[in-house]
Amino acid sequence: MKLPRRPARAAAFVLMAAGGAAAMIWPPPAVQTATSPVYALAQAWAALLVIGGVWSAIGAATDRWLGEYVGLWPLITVFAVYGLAALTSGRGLVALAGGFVLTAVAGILFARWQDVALIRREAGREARTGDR
Amino acid sequence: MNRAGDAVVAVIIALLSVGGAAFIRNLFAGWKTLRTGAQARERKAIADLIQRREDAEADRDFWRRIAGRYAYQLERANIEPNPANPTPPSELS
Repeated sequence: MKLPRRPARAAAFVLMAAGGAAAMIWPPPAVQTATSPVYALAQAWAALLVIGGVWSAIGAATDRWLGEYVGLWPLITVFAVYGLAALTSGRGLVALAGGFVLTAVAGILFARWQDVALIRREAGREARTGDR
Repeated sequence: MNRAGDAVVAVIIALLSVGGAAFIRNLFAGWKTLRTGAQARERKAIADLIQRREDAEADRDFWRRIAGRYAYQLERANIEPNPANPTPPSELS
């Protein structure tokens, strides 16, 4: 049975990593405002976006579950932080809507991580029981 | 900064810490799994699961047919099977 490739997933993670790289120089205003008391917190946020995006993109492009298994959690927390920053920005309904969307993206990435974790668990079980 | 802002910063620090810690933890866990000889490719791992399910179904059908033949042979030889009405584990739960 031939399973489909998913280049769109790799491309999406590349875009996330690129966004993180840009954010290291120009952080989003909501994140910058929310993290302003602690120096370099916005850069740490952007760095996690780059790290998570790169690992996940490599994993998706090379069909290796390790990439997304490692890279998705940094992305989940990055989007959760971005959503929180938007929701607490006090900039009205537009920011509220944006915050909901960003938090939803974190949820979708978490759901994907659960699927990848299941693959890792089953691959480990097959290796232990010698069914391959 | 006000207390609400401090709380937001604290939550952000906590979330980013979780992300960083999870990255390191999953890196070690994934590497450990690969060292046991686990399939590294996602599609191949899924294909292995599909193959294992198909093999299990083929074995199940084979043993069903054999059990049917044995039951017939026992009945022809007037031998009472023991157990008379076995219940598989999947039907016990």
